[in-house]
Amino acid sequence: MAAPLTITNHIRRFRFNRGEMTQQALADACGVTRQTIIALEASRYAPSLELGFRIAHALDASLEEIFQWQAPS
Amino acid sequence: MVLFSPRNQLVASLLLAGFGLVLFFGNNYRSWDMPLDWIGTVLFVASVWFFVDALHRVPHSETELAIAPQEWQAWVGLAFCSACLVAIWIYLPAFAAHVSIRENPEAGAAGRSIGMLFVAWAVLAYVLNQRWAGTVLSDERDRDIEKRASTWGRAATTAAVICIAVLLGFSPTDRLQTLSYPWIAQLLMSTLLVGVCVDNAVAALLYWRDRRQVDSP
Repeated sequence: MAAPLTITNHIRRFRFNRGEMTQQALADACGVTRQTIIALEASRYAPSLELGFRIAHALDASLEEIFQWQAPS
Repeated sequence: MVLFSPRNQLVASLLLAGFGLVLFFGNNYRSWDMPLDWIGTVLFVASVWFFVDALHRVPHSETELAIAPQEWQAWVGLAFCSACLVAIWIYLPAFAAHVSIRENPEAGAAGRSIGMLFVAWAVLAYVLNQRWAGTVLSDERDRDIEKRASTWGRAATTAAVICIAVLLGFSPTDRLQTLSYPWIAQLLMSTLLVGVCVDNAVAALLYWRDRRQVDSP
């Protein structure tokens, strides 16, 4: 079984706060596939720093607001 | 008309394509003088053509949207690689004669049939990309999966090459003399295909595993 990711995010919450922005709209704004947004929201994928910034920019928020890092116990 | 709706046309063309492949593979077991592989190939290509037509008219379903374009490509790649490997295995006896493929009509026909499979694969891959024209086809997550799958593919190719080296190195010389050059060429082709097949299988599995875990966290 794959180890749980140490990076979590609030993409879903920020999407809904921005007028229920769809996953496809966010994917288009960030230049990724919708399936990547789905994987990100489910914390199944840790994005690159650049993609993290692109998502934060598309959601009009800072990187720290969207992503959190938890030190592995 | 509902009967000729794009979705029904899609299903019918897929069934016909499957029947075409059955004819293509069944050619080796024919008991009458009919070029079944040729008929199968024509049927397959024609079905793919109608499939393309229907594909452009059918709206994207939820199931389809849940699967990434590169995952579709991985499943299609896996299906065609497996089909090509089976075809090479079935037609292997045709390459056993100690003459070049040009002088062996049976081997030539087998080669053309296998070649047609590659062409059909390329056509279908192109059609699938057209289906998502204007959207992002791959991103960093796809590249990450591709990288992991390639590692497995390389390992499989290496293992297959070592197997062939051991086979050729440790077999008795008089037995090796019965192997023709076209036969060894097919063996090398299948080695490459094993690598590509494993590459596609791992990619498809990684995508599927990700989707499954998202669906049931």
